[in-house]
Amino acid sequence: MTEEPRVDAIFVALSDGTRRDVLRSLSEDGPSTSTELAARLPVSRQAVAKHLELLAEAGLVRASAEGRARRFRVTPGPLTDAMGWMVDVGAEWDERLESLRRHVERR
Amino acid sequence: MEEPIRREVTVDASPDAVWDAVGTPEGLAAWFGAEVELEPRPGGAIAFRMPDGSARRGVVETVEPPTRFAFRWRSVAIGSDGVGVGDVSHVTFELEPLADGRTIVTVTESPGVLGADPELLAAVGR
Repeated sequence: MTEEPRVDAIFVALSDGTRRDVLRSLSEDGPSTSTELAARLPVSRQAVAKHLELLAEAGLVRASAEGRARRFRVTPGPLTDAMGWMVDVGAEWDERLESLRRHVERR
Repeated sequence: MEEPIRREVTVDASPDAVWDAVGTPEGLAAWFGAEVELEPRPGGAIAFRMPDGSARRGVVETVEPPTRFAFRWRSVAIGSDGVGVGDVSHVTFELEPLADGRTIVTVTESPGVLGADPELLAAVGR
């Protein structure tokens, strides 16, 4: 069986507002270290580092070693997969709900 | 982003009539577009087999007529290299009565097991 994108891990990763801020900052400001992110956000460097670890496990960011500091960047693929899931499954439910409506309203 | 999928429809039918369609196996089978097995009690089995052969299996979580019906499910497929299961997601139907006798039906679907993942919470030091 081919691997499906780990959509649940992505949504759990995105369920935290600070992690969304980290992703947004990486998108807007470009690849950054945890120290640079902590300077931009109202969060400690240690908390940023833990959030980055979780985002990396979900496949949403990846790190490149750069001397002593790891620089993180967004990997757009999984987020696109998650958004695709939302669109596809949302459309499925729209169809089913329309089918439900026709069924309960039949006279 | 607690509920990635949230869709609703307003139907010209009472909550009781809608509950019959959503919370019973015969009711679900009439509109879902699949063969349905359902034991309508918390912990009961729920299964859907679609016309294209794909299937979903899961467990009922909430049965509160005529207001709330919830279950978790995952896709199950049998391929040439064995059985594959998709990620679990959590589905909830909520029925809200309107003063004019109609019912708002809201469905939400969230990937992952309901509730926090303790390992993930530990990873961010909360």
